[in-house]
Formats: sequence, structure tokens, C-alpha cells
Amino acid sequence: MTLLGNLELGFHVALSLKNVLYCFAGAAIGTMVGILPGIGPVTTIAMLLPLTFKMSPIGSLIMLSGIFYGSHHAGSTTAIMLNMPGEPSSVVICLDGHPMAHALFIAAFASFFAGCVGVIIIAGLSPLLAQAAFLFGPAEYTSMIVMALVTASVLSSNALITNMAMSVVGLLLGVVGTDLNTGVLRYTFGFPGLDEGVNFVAVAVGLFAIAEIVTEMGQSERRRPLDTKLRGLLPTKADLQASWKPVLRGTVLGSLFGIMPGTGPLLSSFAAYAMERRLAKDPSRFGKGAIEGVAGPEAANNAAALTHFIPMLTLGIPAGASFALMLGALQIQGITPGPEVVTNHPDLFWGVVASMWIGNLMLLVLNLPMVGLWIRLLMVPYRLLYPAILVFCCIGVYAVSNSVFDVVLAAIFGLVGVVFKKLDCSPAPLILGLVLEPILEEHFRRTILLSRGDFTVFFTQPISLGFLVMTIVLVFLFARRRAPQPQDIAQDAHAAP
Amino acid sequence: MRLKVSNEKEFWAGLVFMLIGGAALSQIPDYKIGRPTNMGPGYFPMLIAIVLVLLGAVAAIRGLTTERAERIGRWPIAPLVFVTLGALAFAFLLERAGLALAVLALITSSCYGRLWRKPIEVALIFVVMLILTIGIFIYGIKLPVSIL
Repeated sequence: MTLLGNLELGFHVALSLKNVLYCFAGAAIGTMVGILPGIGPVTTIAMLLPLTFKMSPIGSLIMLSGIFYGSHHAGSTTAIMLNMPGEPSSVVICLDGHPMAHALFIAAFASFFAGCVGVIIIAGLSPLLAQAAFLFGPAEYTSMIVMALVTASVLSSNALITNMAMSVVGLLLGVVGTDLNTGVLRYTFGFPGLDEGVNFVAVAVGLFAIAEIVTEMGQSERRRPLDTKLRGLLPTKADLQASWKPVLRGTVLGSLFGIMPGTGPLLSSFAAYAMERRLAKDPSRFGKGAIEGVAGPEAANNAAALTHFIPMLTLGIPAGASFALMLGALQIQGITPGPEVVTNHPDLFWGVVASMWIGNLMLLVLNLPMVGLWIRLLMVPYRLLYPAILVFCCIGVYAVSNSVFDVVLAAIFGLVGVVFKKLDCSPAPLILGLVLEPILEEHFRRTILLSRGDFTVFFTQPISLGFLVMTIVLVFLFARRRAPQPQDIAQDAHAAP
Repeated sequence: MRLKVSNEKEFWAGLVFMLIGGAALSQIPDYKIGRPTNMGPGYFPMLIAIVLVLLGAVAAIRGLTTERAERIGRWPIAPLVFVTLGALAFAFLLERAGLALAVLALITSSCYGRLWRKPIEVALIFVVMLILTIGIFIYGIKLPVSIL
């Protein structure tokens, strides 16, 4: 099937009434969640997961992906209007967006442009990647997963060692349950609730939602300053002239950063900002309202948010905690994400790709004319929000497999999550490890079995060696960074990637 | 010799990781390890538990050798206790006493600070949440749970 033919199929699927509604729901919820501090896309996806079981896999993925890219898109609205980031990737917009409300317009169009490019990249690149993946054997998959786990730890603001350790903890958690190979129960300590493994939704809810709520409750409520003049919304000609190149640069940067697992959107925002500042004729304007500091990072952020889907859709490798949850949801629905999805479930793949474009279009409407509505939403005090989040989370966790044990698990992971938060250990790599463990162990076992006990096979197979070399290169490229100061603000502003 | 913990967070994180890895390793003798060509259930967990202990050791050493200004700070003990108790109460009550009481327990527990100061607000939150959850979960996805 040609690309055009596939897109036609995709739009046919995505434009069914149900799927359009799911797309809108996802984009709207994502926007809401991106604007509200204290709740992020991971928590939301975890809470809504059980609801998606009653939906078709296509509908679920359309909605959940809408929540993801919607939340990344919307964070900049808060950053610009209230000088308070809604999503960590909007911290950068905060630096330059606040003095100018007409930056909203530029930001929205920069995002839309980047979104279109992102969708084109997904449409063009994914089938090629999926084809390439058919050349992969178990050794290649093992190395690829290792690379994904390490990359997710490297491209993150916390200490590399800590993050890698967190992904290993996730792997250990993934071991819990029945060993598919031998049928032996591992680490279940007699609890039948653990026979099927640790419920990943319970872990996600505990580590992200409960831990975040408990930590926020421990701090006094922050009054949010509201000074918004929605006049002057239209950009000037000078603005447009100054922004188009940053938008292009940001789009390219974001698209590249997003393809790797890790905190692509956040990192690409900062990278785009740094690049614009370095390229600007008058860098002193940055921080006081330079439109390049809004247009570039915004484009980068949105492009990255979309290309971030590529590893999961084409290779079955989640690029972040949100995707780990989406992957789990698909698995429960009977679809194993991987290279076969593009060919075996073309309606799912192309339908989701088409809906991403539709979603981006909806976001343009949601973020511009309806901005006033969202700002009002920001005034909801946290003390009214968090009980609601807790209730939804607890019942949501229960609903996954009608198990109160899972709710207890979530509570325990809430406690564990608070400990990790205080120790600056990021929970996202843990979820990745948890979800990826079965595949990793399976491929590892198979590799060594096929190589008859030869462990060097990971280095002698060229593609596998390539993955491992890339891993080491990335570690050395990024591990030397001293986390820049704005990222400390990002830690305070939000939790989930 | 007095060790200076110059990077608190990483030091204790390292210890936690070593503890988890060690605990995992302690259970390994119960599982067959097998050979590389015939891996038993214990093989892979043993490998990754060892990796975890090593990473934890590195982190702990970094905790003693690198500098980081932020201390761990205070723990949110009260919110932690109340929210955990609330979630546990929810789990206990949901199938035994129904959704309404479970939600009530969760909300009263997590709003512990304002039960006396703003009881009406808490009551309103409870009513709204009960209606929403009944609507979405019981009617929406037909969750087999009784309301009372």
C-alpha cells in the first residue's frame, strides 16, 4: 500500500464519529491536565485506563495519545499567561513568554506547524523502521531494549546512576509473578494477587499520583498570580518575521530528540531555547520577551511530543512512562505492539497517525479561542482537586482487574513513591523497566539459547553492537552535563513526564 | 573515621538500591538458576539484582564524594499516613461495604485537615465524587460493585 493509500485508510478510520469524539476527549482532557499543576499525563492515563477497556483498541489509543500530546501542547498556555509552567517542557516558554500575551498566538501556530511535520515524520519513518525491525533477532531486541532503558535514564534531568538503578528496580518488579518460561512463581510470597505480576497501573498510580499528592499536601498552598490581558493577542509582522526560522529549527530539533526514549519534549525545549539564544543577534533580549524564545521551544516541544510515539508504535518500545501505560493497555486489549502492528493492524496504526493530525488541529482551537476558559480552570484550588484525583485513582486501579489487592499495592507504592521522590529518584524509568521486563528477559534468554551460551554474541552481531555503541556514545554525550538551573524549577513545577 | 555525606539524596538512594538488590538476591537460592543455555527462573533476576547492587554502591559512593547543596528535608509524615490509611480503608471497604462508604473513608481521611474547619466543603466533595464515580464506573463501565 502506498503512503497515500495508507493515509486514506487512516483518515477513514479516524474520521468516524466515535473516533473523532475520542480524539476530542483526549485533546481536551490533555489540555486540562497540561494546564493544571499537580496532575500530569501519566496520572491521567493511569486513571482512565480501565475506561478504555470497554473501547476498541483504536479508540483507546486515539484518546490516550490525545491526552499525551494535548498536555504537552497546553502547558505553554499556562506558562505564558501566568508565568507558571503547567508542564515541565513549558518552563522554557515561561522564561520568555510571560511579558507578551500575543506569544500565545505564535506558540499555538508554531505547535501546529511542528505537529504537522511530526505527523508526516511518523507517517514516513515508521513503516521504514518497522521493515528494518524485521531484520532484528533476539540479540538485537535485547540490545535495543537495553539502549532504550539507558537512554531514558540519560536524557533526563536527574542523576544517570540513580535513573538506571530505578529502571533495574523496575525490571526486578517485572520479574514478580509467574515465569512464563518455567511456570515457577517468583517473588510472590504467597500472595495470589501477585501471580499475574505486579499491576502496572497500581504502580503508576502509586508512584506518580499518590506520591505527588502526598508531597504537595506537605507544602502550603501557593497563591497563583493572575494578571492577564487578553488584548494584544494578534502578533505583529515583526513577530512573524522573527519566528519562522526558530519554528523550523525547533521542529527539526524536537523531531530528532523525540525519537529517542527519555524526556524528549522537555529536553528539546531547553535545547531549542539554548540554540536560539546562541544564534540570536542580541541574546540579551532573551528572558525578557524574545519571541524566538517562545516559537522555537514550542515547536520543538510539540514535534518531540509526536515523534516520541515512534518507538512504541513501530518497535513496541515505550519512550516514556505514558507510553508504557499505553503499551500495557494495548496488551490487555490483545494487541502486542511491535513491528507487526504497522502491517497486521494498519487500521490501528494509520488511524492513530491520522487522528494525531486531527488532534493537533483541535488543539489549535482549544488553545486559542478557548484560552479564557482554561485560565479560569487554573483558579481551582488544589485542595479541591486532589481528593478527586485520589478517588479516581483508587477506583481506577480497582477496575483494571476487579482487585482490591491492587489498590493496596497502589497504596504501598504511594509510600515507596514518596521515599523515591524525596531521594530524587525519577519513577519513569521504573515503569519502563516494569513493562519491558517480560520482553527483555524473553529475548535475552533466547539469544543465549541460540548462541549456545556465548555472551559475546551481543557484540558480534552488527546491529546489536550498533545499539550498544550508541548507548555508550549517548551516555558520554549527556552524562557530563550539569543540570541547568531552569530544570530545577521544572522539578518543582511538575512531576510526571 | 567520620564519613561526610555531601550528597545526601544520592547516598541514601544508593543504600536503598543496595537494600532492594540484596533482598532480591536473598530469595534467589529458592529458585533454580540453571545454566546459560538452560536458564532457570532464578537466572535473570540474579543478574539484574547484582547489577542493582552495583549501581547502588556507585550511587552511595557518589553520595560521599560529590557535592550537592540540597538536603533531603522534611518528610510529609502526616499526609503520607492519612492518604495511605485512606487508600487502605478504601480497599478494605469497597467489596465489603460498597462504594459509598469506601469513597467516604478515602475522602474523610485525605481531607483530615479540614474535617472540623470546613466540613461542608468536605461533604460537598464527597457527594460530587460519589455521583461522578457512580456515573462513570458503575453505569459507564458496569463495574460489579455495589453502592451500599
